[in-house]
Amino acid sequence: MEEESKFFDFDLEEDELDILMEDVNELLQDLETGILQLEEKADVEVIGVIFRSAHTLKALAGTIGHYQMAELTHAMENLFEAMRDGVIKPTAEVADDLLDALDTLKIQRDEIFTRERSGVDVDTILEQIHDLMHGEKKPVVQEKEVSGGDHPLTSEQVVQIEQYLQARRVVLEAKVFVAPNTFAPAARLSQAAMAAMDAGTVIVQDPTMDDLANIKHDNKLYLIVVADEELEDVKKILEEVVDLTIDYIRPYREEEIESRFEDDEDEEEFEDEEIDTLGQISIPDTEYFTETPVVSPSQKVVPVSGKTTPSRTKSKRRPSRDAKIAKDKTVRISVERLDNLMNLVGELVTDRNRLVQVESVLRAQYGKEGDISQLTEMTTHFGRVIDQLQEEVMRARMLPIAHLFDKVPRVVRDVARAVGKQVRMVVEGEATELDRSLIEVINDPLVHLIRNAVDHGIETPEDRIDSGKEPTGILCLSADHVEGQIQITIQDDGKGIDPNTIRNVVVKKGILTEEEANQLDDEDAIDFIFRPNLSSSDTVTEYSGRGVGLDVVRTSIEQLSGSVVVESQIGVGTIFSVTLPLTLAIVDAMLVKVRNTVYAIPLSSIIESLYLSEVTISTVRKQPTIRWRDSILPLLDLRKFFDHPRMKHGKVDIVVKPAVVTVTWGKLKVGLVVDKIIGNQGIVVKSLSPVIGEIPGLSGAAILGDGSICLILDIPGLINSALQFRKQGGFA
Amino acid sequence: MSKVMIVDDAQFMRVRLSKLLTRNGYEVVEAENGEQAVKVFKSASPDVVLMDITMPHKDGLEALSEIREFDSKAKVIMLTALGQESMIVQAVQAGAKDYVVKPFNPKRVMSALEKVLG
Repeated sequence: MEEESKFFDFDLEEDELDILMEDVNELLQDLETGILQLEEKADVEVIGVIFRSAHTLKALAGTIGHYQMAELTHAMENLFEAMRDGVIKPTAEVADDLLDALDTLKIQRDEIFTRERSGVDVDTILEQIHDLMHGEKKPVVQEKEVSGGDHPLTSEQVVQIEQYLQARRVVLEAKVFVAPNTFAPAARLSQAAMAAMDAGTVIVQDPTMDDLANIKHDNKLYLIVVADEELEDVKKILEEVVDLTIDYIRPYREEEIESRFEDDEDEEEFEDEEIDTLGQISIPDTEYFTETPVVSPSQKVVPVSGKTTPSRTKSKRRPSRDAKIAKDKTVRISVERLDNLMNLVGELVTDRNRLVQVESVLRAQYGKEGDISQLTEMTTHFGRVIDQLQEEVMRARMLPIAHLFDKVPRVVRDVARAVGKQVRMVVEGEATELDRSLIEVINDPLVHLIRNAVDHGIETPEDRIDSGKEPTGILCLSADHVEGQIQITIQDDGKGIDPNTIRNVVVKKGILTEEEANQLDDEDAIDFIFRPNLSSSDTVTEYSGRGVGLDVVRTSIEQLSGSVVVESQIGVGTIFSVTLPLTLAIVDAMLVKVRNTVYAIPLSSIIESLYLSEVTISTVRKQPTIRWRDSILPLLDLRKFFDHPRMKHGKVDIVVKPAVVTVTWGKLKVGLVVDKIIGNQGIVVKSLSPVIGEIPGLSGAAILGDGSICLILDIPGLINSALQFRKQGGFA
Repeated sequence: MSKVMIVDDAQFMRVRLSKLLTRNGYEVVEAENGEQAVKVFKSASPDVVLMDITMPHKDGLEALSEIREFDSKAKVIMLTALGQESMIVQAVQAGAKDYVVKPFNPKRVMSALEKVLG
């Protein structure tokens, strides 16, 4: 056999590589998501998505001349087709083979990148697929799933709708769906149906309440409602339902006119299964209207829609595709360019702050004379525009967290298989957006937490049965915007963390005395799993194994100005909550003065601020503290902490009004003593030059309105320092 | 100040929820099973009810329908463990406004409450 060259000769220009990779990665991701879904629910939509992905990949591979990849994707495509036709049933074995194929595709993807032959064995996997298609052990097909999503109408319903339309009532049609991983999707759909009933009269509901009660649904719901309220109001009511995505909601008639234009769209798409059933007709049906006298008065209205018959039952777009609308890009723009834009906006924000200052100085000097008031007006307007610009650019940098979450099911499946667990994923809030730079950096810590949850949180099926649980554990991953921040939670229904085991380990390790450990409340005890000296310990595995590398997780999240906390209940489960800022580039901060230096404290970590004159400082074991809301708050005097060398000689601001700013990090709180609170401002974060290196207590710098520099406080670092005091002083 | 009735047979859950709610400025009344829930609802007339589904002495579903019978505008949010899908569907179809999955995320409980009250 002639030896193949070690290298590929692809038909691919250097500058095309990035774009190709982006496409390929997206398609591979869609394939992965779809294949994993197959095991749970192989409906026409899921198969449709993976079929298209394989098909598109095949085309890409063929185009650049990666024929092995094209061959493999072709085989997969055929398999998906057989699945769609109901010839093959997607069992776990089929999914295994498909995942093998997917892994091979990933190696082939890397080959495109390196142009080097990996020597991956494609033949075996091709054989496997061939066996599935033609082999004896072809899995038997069960009954085909009924697609409940489309909407044939009975003649009664048609008449009803027409009559309402004639009476000039608002008739709306809506399609909503829940993500397949949502917990209790039928309940969410029921909620939507109930909400619709509140908003008017529901004429058509598919699936019906009974279907939903029997969990017979397709993760979607079609409604025709005669609304008592306006479209926007009904939409708002539907939007209130958690985990629900509105595919569309629109006046009933518009859709029919629209549908005329969609007849020959996208020839690659499958035709929908014919859904017309006996005794039902698809409306609008020309014949129906010409033959039936009942609605004759409405004929002036009817013909408009009467012609559009053929495409009526052809669904618009598959929901799974709609679900991804947010993910689909319309314009490609390089990350670099976005970063540049953000930097420029940052400069503008700084300039705006300066302008505001200049304006106020001028106004103080010249009063509100004609020209100055114009300047004031302009400054205000300029400020508003820049705020909007900043927000828009920030938005442009945002991506739905689905980009991250999409990868998780595979991780969970692999870990679960490896350690013999059964795990079902529930994903919520996939559409939650965050800055793309965050998505990249948060991946590892998150995957770590998820692996941990599967490996150590969720019990083996046997143990679960013994403790009266379902053998399959549930891992819920959710994201949400909370108070201008992103909150991601990883929740399992496993065995939980026993605080007593941790107390024991902490004592054994000599971190705390037995007395101290016993004084810890459960929450604080559990929080010790984030301690580095605990996590590397092998004793850790004795208590539910949590802690392996969790210190690294916490550190990396904190480097992003985020926080992670854990909550757990023995036998019930554990929740890790990760909170992150929306963006790392611009933060809202409180400016404070300490001697002659201005410092910025990120607003996200501030609880409140008090004037020092309002509180009484008492010293508890050498540690200055104040009483604050029923607890004792340790103080950290920044005037001492940042030992300003010129403090005594320098010109000190005469107006000093010392204040305590209470800051929090995780569950810890500390009062920072400053000379003066200046006010709040959005600041553009610049990292400290690597030349300077890390300075304790500082995380970065920013340029202020007057061109001067302010230093951004590193709150976790400061709180840690304060607690060092606390430890040394024995502060309880 | 809105008044919330917490119905759960597990004391731990009631204490947990009660702490969370009072901290967030709600007034709290409690009941430990469905039967009590109906009684307390009638006497205390809370603005919203947070109710477990699986309880002895009248489960959450029965209590829900009795409460709704008494006051058709009663706002009830169900608390449920994972894996009770059909029960939740029944509850929602019987008029429960929302549901929250246990072990619950405090933020979710709060946002569900705010939505229902809003």
